[in-house]
Amino acid sequence: MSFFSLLFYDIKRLLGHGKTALIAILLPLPVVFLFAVFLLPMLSAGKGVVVSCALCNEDTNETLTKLLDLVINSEVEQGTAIVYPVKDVESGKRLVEEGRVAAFLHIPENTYQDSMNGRQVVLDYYYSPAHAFEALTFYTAVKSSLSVFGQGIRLVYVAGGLAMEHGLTQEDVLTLWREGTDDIIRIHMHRGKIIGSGGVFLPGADYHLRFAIALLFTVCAYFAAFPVMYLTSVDLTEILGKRSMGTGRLLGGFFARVLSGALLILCTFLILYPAARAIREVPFAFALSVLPAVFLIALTFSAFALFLGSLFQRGEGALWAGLYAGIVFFACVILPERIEGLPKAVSSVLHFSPVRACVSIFSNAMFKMIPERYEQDLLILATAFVVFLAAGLAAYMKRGRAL
Amino acid sequence: MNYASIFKGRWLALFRDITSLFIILLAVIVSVWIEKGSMPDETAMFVAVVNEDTGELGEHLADVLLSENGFDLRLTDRDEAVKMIASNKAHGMIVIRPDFTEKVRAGAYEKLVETTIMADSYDMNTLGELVINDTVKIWMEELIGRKLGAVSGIDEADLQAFRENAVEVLHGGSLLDVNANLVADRSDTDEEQTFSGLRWYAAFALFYLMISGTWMCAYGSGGLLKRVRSKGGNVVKLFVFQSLPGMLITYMGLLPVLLVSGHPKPVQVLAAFLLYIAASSAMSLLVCALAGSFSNLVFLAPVVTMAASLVSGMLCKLPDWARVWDYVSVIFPGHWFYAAILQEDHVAGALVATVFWFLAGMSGSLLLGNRKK
Repeated sequence: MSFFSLLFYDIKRLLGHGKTALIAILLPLPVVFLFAVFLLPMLSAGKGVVVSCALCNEDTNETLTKLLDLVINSEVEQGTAIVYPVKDVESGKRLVEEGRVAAFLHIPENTYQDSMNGRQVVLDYYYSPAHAFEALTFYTAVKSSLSVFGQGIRLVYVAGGLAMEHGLTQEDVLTLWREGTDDIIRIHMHRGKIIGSGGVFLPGADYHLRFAIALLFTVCAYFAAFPVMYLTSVDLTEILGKRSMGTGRLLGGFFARVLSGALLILCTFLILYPAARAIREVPFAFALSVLPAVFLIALTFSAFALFLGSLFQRGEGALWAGLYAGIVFFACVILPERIEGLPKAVSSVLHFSPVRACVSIFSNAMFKMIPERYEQDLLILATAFVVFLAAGLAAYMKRGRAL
Repeated sequence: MNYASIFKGRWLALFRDITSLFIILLAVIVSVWIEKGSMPDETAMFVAVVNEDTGELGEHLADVLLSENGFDLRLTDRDEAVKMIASNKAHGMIVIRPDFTEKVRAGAYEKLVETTIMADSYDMNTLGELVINDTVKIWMEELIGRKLGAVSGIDEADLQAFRENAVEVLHGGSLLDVNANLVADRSDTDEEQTFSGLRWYAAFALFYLMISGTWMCAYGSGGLLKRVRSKGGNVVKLFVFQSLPGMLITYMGLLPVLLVSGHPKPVQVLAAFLLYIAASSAMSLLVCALAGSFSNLVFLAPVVTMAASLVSGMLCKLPDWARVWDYVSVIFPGHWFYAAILQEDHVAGALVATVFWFLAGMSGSLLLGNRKK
């Protein structure tokens, strides 16, 4: 039997193995659904963190009103905020309590005038525990940008004071003050452009979302390798146990399984890409740029699955090992940043895990390509693939010959 | 049929099955960890700062950035920074562009700084804000200083005085500040009273009951039920005695988590957990019977556990916009266990959920068994 016939039969066996392969391919659907229903609204509504915010502006100053309109329109256009004006503090707090908005910002009377006259003004920001994630993320941005805005106004005052000391007319000082304030407003209205993004608050900050999408891709791809683990173990015990095979056939069977396993994992990616596109509008060109990595990931996970499947006599044993190996691999993604004082050797090993490289490719290269990082991640995956392939081949041949 | 020996056999089998037993051990460790204070704080993330500007303002921005806390910012060149990003040593890179000084002096603000942030690291959202704010500070100081310098009579000493004042202002407080106030939902308890560890343990317990329930897969195959009936056995009794050991193990696992949680009504939680694992066992029966084999169960168990636990608010508190799931989740045992943790009415609901899942599990497995006869 030629290698291609062997490959064809193996694909038929793997994909046609009852419900298992079908479940593996369709598994991303409920997971994506749960992600979209529960996590996505907390993380983003497209490009960044989205916050529904009630606003009570008790300051009737015309300049402030215009300024607020500019900020609100900009944020609404960017899709980072939905703003609901309210009449009084009680209404705003009630909306927060009832969970109808994530946050409520209260601007007291004379805010503009007081800050322009050098007096400190404190705004109140209310949020509920249920919306703590997005509300506090937004709060950090509002607080820091308003704080810098206030510092700018103070700088204008310092300059105005010095100018007055040198006998500048009140009219000229006012001109200096107006021009300086205009500059401060101008840069704050476009502060995102400083780093090449849009918006006023948290421009381009959707790293949580990118990380979550990458984890979703990786978990589903990893789970898609489980039928390979199970069937390899079962085949070596049940089928090869009944009839002996030559080295050539064993080798052919091994490589056919690696390729058919990779194909099964690739099927999962076919379902995942439309989901990612719907969630975060991942451009098709970006997805194409990670295509070589996608093939390598599929091959690496398939080779790893074959390695585990060849190690265990029982299919269940291989699946348990896969489950625990998955826990360790995903801990490698999350723990290095979380645990201080890890020995350097341990930290390095954790950083070079194939699952971490996979998450890195999906969260970085698919959104912003840094060729050097991409190459490094590919190298990690390629190394892991060679190691798993060699270890898997050795274990497979050992068991195949012993039978 | 000797149900006592069935119970004993299952009990011994569970203790011999180290692989599944390790799940419950892991569940206890993780839940106690969550209950005692969640994940540790992150270490300061290393971010490379590259100054490609030869002017004084670029240098000034680099100094301001390097004095920031919260991130481990270090000055380096682009090649080194890219190398560090490639080898996963740096989590981000801030590049001060070559025309930074020139642009700022001209009052321009577009693309002054380039930020590259690695999304495979946690909580890098605030880095962009930090870079923007520091750049705005430099920009404001420079522009206002230049406007002041244009005023007749202002000399270098005055400008120096302005710069010194600017340092004081930019490092000091602001005229505009925002106070964050937590508004507690009327029906909510505060964070300390949500007992995350207990909730997570309950979710893990459901997963354990499913994943260690390969014996339940046989309930949907038909052969087992046929043999039991032919020997005059009772399928319901068989299920109860077979599932008891798993329930006992998860029950024992709850004790250290409950102890650490310091829940004011531990007896109520223990009683509620009894109903929870009874209903969860019955739910597991349905899932295992549907799966038919461990190879399918290994996919279904995590997904079903995640769905049931998320909808019930076991993994994270349901946001108010997801109130519909609060109503839907009344069929899941987790909904009522969560209510018990919060010391709300739960007994009647938990009993109904237990009966529902028991009937669903038994009738589901019987139907599947009959179909495959």
